[in-house]
Amino acid sequence: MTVFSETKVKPPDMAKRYCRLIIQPLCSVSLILFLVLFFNGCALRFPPPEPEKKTYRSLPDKYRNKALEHEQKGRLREALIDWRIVQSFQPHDYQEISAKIKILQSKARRKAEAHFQKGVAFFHNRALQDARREFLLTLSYEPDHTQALSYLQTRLQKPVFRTYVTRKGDTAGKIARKEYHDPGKAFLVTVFNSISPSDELRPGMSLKLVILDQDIVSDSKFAEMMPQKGGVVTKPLRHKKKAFAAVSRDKAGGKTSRSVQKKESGSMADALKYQKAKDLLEQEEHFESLRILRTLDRNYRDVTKLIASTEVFLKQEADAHYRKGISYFLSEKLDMAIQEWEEVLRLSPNHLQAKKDLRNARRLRQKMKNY
Amino acid sequence: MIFYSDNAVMRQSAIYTGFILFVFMFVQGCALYKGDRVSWDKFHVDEFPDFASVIVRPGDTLPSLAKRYLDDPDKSWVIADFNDITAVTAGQEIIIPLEPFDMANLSPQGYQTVPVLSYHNFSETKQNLMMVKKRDFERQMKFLKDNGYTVITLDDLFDFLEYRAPLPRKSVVITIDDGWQGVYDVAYPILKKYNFPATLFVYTDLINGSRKTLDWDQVAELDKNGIDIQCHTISHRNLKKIKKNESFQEYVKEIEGEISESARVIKKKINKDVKYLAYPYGDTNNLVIAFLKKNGFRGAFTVKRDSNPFFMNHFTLNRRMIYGDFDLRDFKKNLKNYSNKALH
Repeated sequence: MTVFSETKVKPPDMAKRYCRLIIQPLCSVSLILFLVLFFNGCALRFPPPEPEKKTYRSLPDKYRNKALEHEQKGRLREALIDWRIVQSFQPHDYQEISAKIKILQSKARRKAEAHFQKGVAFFHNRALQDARREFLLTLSYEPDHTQALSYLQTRLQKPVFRTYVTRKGDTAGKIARKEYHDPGKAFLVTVFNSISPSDELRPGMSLKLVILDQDIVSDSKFAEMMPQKGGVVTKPLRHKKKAFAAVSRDKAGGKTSRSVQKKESGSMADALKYQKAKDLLEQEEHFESLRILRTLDRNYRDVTKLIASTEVFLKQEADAHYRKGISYFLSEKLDMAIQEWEEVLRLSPNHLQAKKDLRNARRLRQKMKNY
Repeated sequence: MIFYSDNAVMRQSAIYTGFILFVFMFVQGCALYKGDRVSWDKFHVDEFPDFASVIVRPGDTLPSLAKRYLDDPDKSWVIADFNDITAVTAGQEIIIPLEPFDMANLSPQGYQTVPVLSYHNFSETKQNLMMVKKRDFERQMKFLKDNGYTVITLDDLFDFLEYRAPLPRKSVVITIDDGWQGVYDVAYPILKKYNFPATLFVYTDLINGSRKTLDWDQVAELDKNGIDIQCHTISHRNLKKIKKNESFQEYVKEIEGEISESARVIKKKINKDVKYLAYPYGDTNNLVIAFLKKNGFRGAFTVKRDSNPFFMNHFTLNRRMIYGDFDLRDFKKNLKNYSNKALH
């Protein structure tokens, strides 16, 4: 109660006392603490203490060797990166490496520029493959060479459109007659330029004209495989590959003609066989390719031509092996000669001379073994 | 009153204490901050990007290092490729490129190429040229996983083709054409198992939910689960050939429809904007490409058996068809990821 009454009588005194005894010293202490920690913090932050440097045992030597190897192979960009890595380890020859880096940089720049100039010259002479090679080499020495990149990504690509600037009196029809030699192709002018046929074309407008390929022509062989309008097959089934879908629809209650399915499946099978044979040729599996080509109709696409060229190739290969066999035989390497002639017969089973020589060689080898 | 007086003092005192605590924590924060995460490991190369030299600590893995230094565990291939390693061990010294610097692995000796594999249909037991047996597909995917291949998306491929981002040296793209049921029943579970992304080019007429073909619900499900749905036209007609009895104008109208309508149908059915197309039969011409460009497509694929360097035309990209009768040796032949052909 006394306490209550005391505090009740003199509340401001008590608060002052509290302030004097607790808050004020606390403030002073906190200010000091703040200043100490602040400067301590700043000391750590600006700049942070240099941590203990790690010791790398293998990296400096590894990248030094790589740099030398890349330099030898002419891979200057990789060599530069490698030398920079070596330099970061503060080696004893830091200054020498710096000088080397400068030399390599200027060498790479010179090489890039030389290849770029060559590329431009090839490009203007329409030697596009050579131009591409030179621009690639430019980028290999200077990966950020924007001009070389631009040639590779745009100017060396087959163009899809060309620009036509309209003249006085031009209409879509006139442009089509002039550019496509067919006024009926006026819709091609309008469709890619978002204009309508009746639009008046102001002189000086830039129009995009699609460059038509020469081979947009009706392919009769292909067309023959297409189901015709009014036939059993309806519009969604207009493609040969739809044969697969047709089978499933038929099972589900559809009315797809079996004969059309058979015809389309046959066409599809031929297309697949043909593609497979061509793939095998690209993979240099000539023998297997020839086997598949022979199962196709000779009139299908260029099958006759492919068979002929593959047979010629195999015959040439067989002759080369036959000659090798003779050479081994004359130098008394009987086993090698037999191997070559066996290869001849694999490539050309009817090679009479190889058959005869192989028979003789085997007989001779047997005799030598018996002797 | 008394009560209130006491409380005011306490509150004042609490504010002071809080302030001191704040100042202490703030200053400690400053003191503990040591600058960039790799400030002492990092060095700058004048004309080249930054690299970090690192001694691998116990417990570190390629993904954990990639997370620490490149902010992305999926970028572990950057470290693996630069150091020519497949894993790290404690104490190993490595260099980590902190920025992309090698867009196409291009040197005077050669350049990187990316194979795009093309499948059509799958079956548990049957096999023909266009149908790969489940067992074979599983083996092929396992081969990719076991041999350090990274299966990338078409978006990744196009960033590489545009010379904007490098790719893992052993990158490969998986694509499937048409929309047969075998994709959902056989390929999808295997792709999910290996966490491989793939692209399914659908021709919309085929998505009719018959016993052998996908329906749109399945297509939507695939798209949500790592199988990117893209365009393969409406009816799978050969876009290059004019049909018998078809006028040029009819042909143009048809091919424009095959492109724009198929994109519209996919958008309507699964709310997806397509940007890539696989040409039926791999055939194309300038007119088709012009319509693709008009419709905002980013690129398109043929079936020319080759891999793709960065300087390929984006509308005549190569793909390697994987036939049902391929053994693992045939499959391996189709994973070529380096070439020097254009440098000769």
